[in-house]
Amino acid sequence: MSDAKSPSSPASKQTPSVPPPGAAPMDIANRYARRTYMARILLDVIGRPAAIVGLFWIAVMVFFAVFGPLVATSHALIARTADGSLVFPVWDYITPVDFTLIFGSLATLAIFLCKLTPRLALVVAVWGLTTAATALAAWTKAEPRTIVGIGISPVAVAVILSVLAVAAGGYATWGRRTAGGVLVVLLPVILGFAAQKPSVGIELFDSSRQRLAEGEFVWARFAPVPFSPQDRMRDTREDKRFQPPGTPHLVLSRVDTAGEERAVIKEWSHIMGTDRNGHDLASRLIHGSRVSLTIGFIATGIAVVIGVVIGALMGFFSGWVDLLGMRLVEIFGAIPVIYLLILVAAVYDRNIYLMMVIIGLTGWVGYATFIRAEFLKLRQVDYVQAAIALGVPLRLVLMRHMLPNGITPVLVSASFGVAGAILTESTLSFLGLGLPPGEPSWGGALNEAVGAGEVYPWIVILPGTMIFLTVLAYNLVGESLRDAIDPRTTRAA
Amino acid sequence: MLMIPTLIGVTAVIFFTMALAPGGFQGETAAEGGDRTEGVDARIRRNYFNKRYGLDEPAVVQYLRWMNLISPFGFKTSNDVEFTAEERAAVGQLTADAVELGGIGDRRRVRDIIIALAQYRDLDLLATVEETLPLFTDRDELLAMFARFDSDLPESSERFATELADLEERGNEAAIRSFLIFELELESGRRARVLFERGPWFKMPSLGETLGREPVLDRIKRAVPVTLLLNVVSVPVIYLIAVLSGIYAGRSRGGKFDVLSGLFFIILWSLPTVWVGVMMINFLTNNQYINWFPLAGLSSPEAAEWPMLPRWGGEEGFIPGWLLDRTWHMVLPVICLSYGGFAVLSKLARGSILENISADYARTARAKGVSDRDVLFRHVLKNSLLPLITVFVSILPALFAGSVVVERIFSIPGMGYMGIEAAFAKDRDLILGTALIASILSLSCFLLRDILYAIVDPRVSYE
Repeated sequence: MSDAKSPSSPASKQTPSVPPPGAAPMDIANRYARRTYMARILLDVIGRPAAIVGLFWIAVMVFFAVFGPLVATSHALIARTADGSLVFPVWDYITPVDFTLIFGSLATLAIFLCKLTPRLALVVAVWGLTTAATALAAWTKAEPRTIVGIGISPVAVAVILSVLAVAAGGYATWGRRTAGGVLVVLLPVILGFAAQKPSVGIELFDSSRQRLAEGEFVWARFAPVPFSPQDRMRDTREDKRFQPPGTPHLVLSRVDTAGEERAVIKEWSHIMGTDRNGHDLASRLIHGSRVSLTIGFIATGIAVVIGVVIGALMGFFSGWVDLLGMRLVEIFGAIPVIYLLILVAAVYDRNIYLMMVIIGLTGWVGYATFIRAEFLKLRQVDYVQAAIALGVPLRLVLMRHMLPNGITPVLVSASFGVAGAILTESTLSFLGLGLPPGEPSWGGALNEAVGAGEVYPWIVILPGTMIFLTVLAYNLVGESLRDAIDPRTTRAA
Repeated sequence: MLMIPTLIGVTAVIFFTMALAPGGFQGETAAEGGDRTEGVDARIRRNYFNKRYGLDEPAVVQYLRWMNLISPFGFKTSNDVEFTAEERAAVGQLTADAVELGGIGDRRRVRDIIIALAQYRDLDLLATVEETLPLFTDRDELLAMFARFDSDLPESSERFATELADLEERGNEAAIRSFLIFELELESGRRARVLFERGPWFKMPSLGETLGREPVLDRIKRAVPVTLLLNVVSVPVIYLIAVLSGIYAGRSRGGKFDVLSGLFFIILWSLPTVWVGVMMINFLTNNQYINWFPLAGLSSPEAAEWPMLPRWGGEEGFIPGWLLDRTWHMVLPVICLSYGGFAVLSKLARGSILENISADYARTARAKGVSDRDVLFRHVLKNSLLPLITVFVSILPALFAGSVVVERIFSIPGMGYMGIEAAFAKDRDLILGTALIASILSLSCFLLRDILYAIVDPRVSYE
């Protein structure tokens, strides 16, 4: 579910601006009034310049997070071999996760652009299916690992999640012919893709460049940033560490032509310089965006779900449930998350998913108190009382009547929460307690600026700028959301 | 009083987060702390940690043991036996002798070994000393003792015998002694299992010992004041700037200053502390750029001998003095810590001033002809500051979190620095202790906040 949430959320923010299909032309005021509270808030937010700037940057980051493996890679995207056939060298190095993200995002985009009707259901179904395909593709390679004492493989988790997602999608689309048809068409396509996916062996970053240099490729197109984040291969210089931006990266022919120097076939430049290990900084930053964004989205998603459930129960039932919940809130509010994460980093394996879970498990307190306060108010409101009196099932009272009216403050703090989670992740990576060493992350890149002995301005400035801009973007969106739902400011504006 | 169950809950969360780690704590330590990851050495080391922390018991029992250790009320265990003056003297003598023998290494280790042996065998310490001393030279006796001790680790004594023989063959006296000491240390760790000395009663809470056998409490006692100093200095800085800008923003609502300061503060708020710290370190303390501020620490190495205040003249010329030196070192960390707080607080200050400025009493005052300035500073400000006073207690926990990074970047030996060091060293008790103290600090901040609420606003009551 949370997978489905991430790429669809920027898109879903745009939905209110599109008039509902088939709606008769109406005057604006009328249309505005007919929208739900939530849609009105979102519409209001989209109209604010600060939010536009923020959303734009987030969209750019989402693009990098999804298409990073195609934007920054050492392998040629497309090439023509000497015998005239077209090959796609980069395809061999697309991991199942990359595949899921790229395919799922494209499908989601298509669904929204083509205005296919049961949008949400389709999106959920597509993401479920792609995840399932990924799990299948990874099935043979993954080794089972022990998580919290239970031997369980990540693939099994992925399969369970995707089965749940497909079930949810199927449930929602039941009886709708469009969706059913699309599902039937998509299923074999995705499974076929997954089955075709060859397993990645040792990654030779130079292979495309060398094949071009040696004439095996007649013609090749490379990515805008033609370096993989782990690409440490050096063709010419002995020392590629801490090279300033613009340093050329030469590709020489391996074959000595007539006993002369090896000819320079092509040269690229490291547009943002290189880091301590000679990795291309631009590439690492692009790939790092995925880590930051997924941590932000998923950790906040976990926190929001837990917080909403606990807060709703506390607010609706009050009494001893409330008392118990408040104690839980106090306990988790008092734990300093950063120290807990340090502790986790000390005893567990370095693991991005664990980090998400921990940030999520400790971050729900704020959401729970917001929802609790809203629900305490809402349950006295006439329409809720009416719903209860009519015998509407509790599930529906909570989910359909109360939640949509109480969730807006959570939305605000969730967007600040994403910013906070990104900050936490980069802080931990900076301290060396975050991701496994070698994985690209913004905090890790920033860490290289400390203790380098000398100041390398691009290492100091660029990764920090990425963190800063992303956090700022979320804060701007959050601020706009807050202004939008705050009756005092709306009246003034 | 509800703090106590909350605190217990906090300890439970912290402990079980750690105890539920796959493979447990000892696996990691054995793999990374030891020299060899496979074979007998690793197994012995794992055994050592098992015994020392009771890791072979179920997590709940471990938790209860740890709770017993840290609570001020509970069973007195063999880990915190008090010794008499003679016993201490005897141990001191033994340590001196042992060091004289050479190849011993750390005095503290020897002392620990002997104490542990004495406890284990329920012997008088003096007697143990007398008995143990010859062991450093008499091999058969030592082997016999191990044979008596060893019931669950047979390969240890076997290997011990072979390796000892091997060493003797080569005639390396110093190596033999350090080998013996190592074995004894492992033994002492294994015997340091909790023995309930007497029934539940009040005792000194302890946080255990670091890997270097130093009481964790001592380390924390040294670290906490440093962190508190940083945070307590940052708070007035935050308040001064935030309240001033809040007042002006509130006064010129919707004006240029309001909008610009709002934007400025949100930008400040979004600036990651790590980045600001790194930039400061790189650009303000470096010879390549501006070398204005000291790079690390809280005072210069020679500052301990300096007088408090700056002094001129004398043969050394100008001495900056301890106070100035400390201030100089704290400029960058405090900036780092406090800039993020401006945004939150100035927004609160602005809101609270806006709320009060349009309140009835302010309007009345204005209607009576009081000047705008006086209304703002004499009537409104007082009332608007009330909520802000209580806020400072709730931003303190956030500051603690922030100071982890700041301490790390500027190498300030506070809580956060210690916690990170402990995480890298995989020092169980130290990590747990740091997390616990940090939680207690933030809990007491919450308590203080509630009390302050009740004091400044008589309408609030907790009955």
